[in-house]
Amino acid sequence: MISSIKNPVLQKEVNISSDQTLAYLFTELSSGEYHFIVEEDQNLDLTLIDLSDCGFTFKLLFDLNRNAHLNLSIASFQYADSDKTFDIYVKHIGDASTSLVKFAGINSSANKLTFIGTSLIPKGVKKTETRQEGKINNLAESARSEVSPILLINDNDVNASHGAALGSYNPNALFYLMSRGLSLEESQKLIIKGTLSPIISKLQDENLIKEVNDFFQDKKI
Amino acid sequence: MKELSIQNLSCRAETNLILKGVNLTVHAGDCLALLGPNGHGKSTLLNTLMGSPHYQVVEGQALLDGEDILKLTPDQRSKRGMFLAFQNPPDVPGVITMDFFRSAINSHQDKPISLYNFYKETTKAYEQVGLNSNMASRTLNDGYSGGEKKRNEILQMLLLKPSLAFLDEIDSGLDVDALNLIAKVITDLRQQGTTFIIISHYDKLYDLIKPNRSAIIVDGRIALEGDFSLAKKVSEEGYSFLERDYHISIEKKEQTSIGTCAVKETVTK
Repeated sequence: MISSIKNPVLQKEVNISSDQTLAYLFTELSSGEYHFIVEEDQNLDLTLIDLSDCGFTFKLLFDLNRNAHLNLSIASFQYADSDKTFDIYVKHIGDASTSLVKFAGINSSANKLTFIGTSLIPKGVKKTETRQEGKINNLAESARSEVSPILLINDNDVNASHGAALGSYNPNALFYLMSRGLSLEESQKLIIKGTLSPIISKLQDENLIKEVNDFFQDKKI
Repeated sequence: MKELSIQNLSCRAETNLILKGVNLTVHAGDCLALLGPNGHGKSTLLNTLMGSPHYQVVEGQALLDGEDILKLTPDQRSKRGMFLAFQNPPDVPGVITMDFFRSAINSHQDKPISLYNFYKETTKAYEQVGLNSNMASRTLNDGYSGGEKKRNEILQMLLLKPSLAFLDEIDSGLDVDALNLIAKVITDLRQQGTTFIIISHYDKLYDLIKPNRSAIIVDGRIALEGDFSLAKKVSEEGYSFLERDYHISIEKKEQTSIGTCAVKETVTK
């Protein structure tokens, strides 16, 4: 079952008892804590696109039971007038559970964009796989961002990795784009689109993808 | 363009003065071989003319048909018909080549290019530079070999059809076939009216395109100008003849402009 929804009302606790592919577009996102329990042998493919114009602390907790699989992708565009924080916590409860968390962010504000991704492998839980990766490009000089992929590993029978990339966009690359006739704003929009589009394309719903593309087309950066 | 007139152009990178009063005039239809020892300011001149943020103009002007281009942003210079083929084209993570080409073409015309014409033009340009057009769906310059990057620069020149093109060591890293191919593109564009300033350390490219003029930069200034025979002389003898025949020293005089480091001053006293 594939479901693409704009601004869904999330339940505080959700049991995933069948394979689910969910893609959410948020143009209004507020602080909250949400708990997903992925039951035995089930897959959860969850995509979140954040275009919200206000700040928040958004916390997602995942419990992965035996042979449960999580594929979480988050794209966030920070242009709000206050800080945005994504705090993702994945707990591998059962053997052979796997998780892949990807975060891509663009910060064109004077405020902070934070991604904290934590994977916990408790002692005694075997044959698990987990990866946390976060990438944020700062487009504004005053932008501040943080990427913290954290692995809490208490058992040896695990395949775990993490990656973080954070920094200002290479001024050489911007000069290169501008030397071909693109204005600074057009160049930045191209970078934003390119960085976020692999995750945005997971929305699958053509109307929602168009809404996102129109948002960036019209947005003053 | 009719004329590019560079007058007393000085610029610095951080506190190092690199160009120290460049005077050079290029006329429509010229193909100028820009020569000079390593580190004497050739690439700096082309990058400064294109508006690189790494260099700060200290004084002077560069008049393109009477307009001082140094006051323009890089995109405005591009829209005036200027083009720089980079010596080291940067990787541009996240940006898909096809999207970039389309935006670049559209920035030079009033109406957006149709999908059909875009496909037709890019396919033809890819053929002309000997690259597979599948590369258009890849991230810009990301993972390209040195030769592919250079061909990709020439490809963009074909798409944008500049009136004034700067080529910065476009021949380095190219195999013989690619060099011939690129020389043909340059020759074709010259015939269509594009003016060129070309930096190369090897005479093979110059032999193929036969520039009508040469200029040698030494220590941030144009030290000598001449015709194609000057480029040939450099290729055969190196730069030692400058000192012998013209009393031009090819040693760089280190010079800082403003903001001289106090510690350095103390140490050197």
